[in-house]
Amino acid sequence: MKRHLTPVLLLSFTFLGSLPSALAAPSTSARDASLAAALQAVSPDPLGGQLGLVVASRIVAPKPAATSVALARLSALNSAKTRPATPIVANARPRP
Amino acid sequence: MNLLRQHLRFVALFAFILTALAARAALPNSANIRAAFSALDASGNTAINLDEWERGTAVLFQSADRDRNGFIDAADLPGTAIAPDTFLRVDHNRDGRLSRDEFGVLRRELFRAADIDRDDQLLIVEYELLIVFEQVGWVDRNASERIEPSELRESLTRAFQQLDLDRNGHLSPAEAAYLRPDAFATFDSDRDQTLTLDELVAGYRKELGA
Repeated sequence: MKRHLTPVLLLSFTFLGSLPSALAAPSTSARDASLAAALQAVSPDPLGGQLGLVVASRIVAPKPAATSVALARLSALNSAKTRPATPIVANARPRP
Repeated sequence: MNLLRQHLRFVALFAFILTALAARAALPNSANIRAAFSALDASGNTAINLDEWERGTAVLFQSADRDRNGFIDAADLPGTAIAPDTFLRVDHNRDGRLSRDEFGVLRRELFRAADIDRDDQLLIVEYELLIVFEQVGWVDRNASERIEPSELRESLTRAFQQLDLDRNGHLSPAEAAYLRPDAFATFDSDRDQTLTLDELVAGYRKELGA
C-alpha cells in the first residue's frame, strides 16, 4: 500500500506545484488568440485594406539568385503589368 | 397578400440601405483601437516596435491560414474587393498563395508607411491613422512610401466625409468615435464640442509635430 501511495503523492505534488504558474499567466495560444481577435476587430483585412494595396504596389519583388534571360524578361514584363507608375487610390467596397 | 409582400419588399430594401450605409461608415471605435494597440504593445511602453509588430504579423498569418498548410490562400481572405488585388501584388512567385515571407514583407512595409516620424516605432496616433487609412486609403503623393504629415489632408478628407453622417460639416463625438477622447478635446480648438475638417487635420499635424 505504501509503495503505491508514494508515486501517487509525488504526482499530486507535481501537479499542484505546477498550478500557480499555469493560473498566473494565460498560455501562449490564449494570448495569441486574444491578440488576433483584437487586431481583427480593428482591421478585418490582414493585408491592410486600402493602405495595404497602395503599399503592395510599391513592393519590389525579390530577385531570384540566378535566372535565364528569358525568365528575367518575363519577370520584367510581369512587374511592369502589376506595378503602376502613378499612385494608386484604392476604392474598396464590400462585395455585394 | 400582395400589399403585404410589397410592404416586406420595402422593409427589406430599407434594411439593405441601412446596412450599406453602416458598412460605409464603419471605422472601429477608439476603445477597440486602443485595445489592439495595447495587445501589440507587449512591453507596455506605449509604443509598438518592429519586434512587437512582427509578433502581430505571425499571429495574423496563423489566423488567416485556415487549413494550416503554411500559406494564405486567396480563399482565406475576407470578402472585400480590395484584398484579391493586394494579394496579386504581394504574391511575388505567382503560385496563387502567400508564404510567411511574402506576407511578412507586406506587413513590414505597412509598419514602415505608418511610422510617420520615422523613429522605428508606432505611437497610438500613428496606429490610429494606420487603421483609418486602411479603411479610406492613402495617396503617396511624393512616392516616399511613408505617410507624410503633408499627405494627411487628402486622406482625412475622405475619412471625414465617411464619418460626417448628418453632412453638417462637423464631427460630433459620436461621429468621431474612432478618435481618442482626449485627442478630440485637444483638436477641438474652438471648444464647440465638434470637429471641423480643419481642426482634425491641424490637430493631427500638431500631435505629430509637423
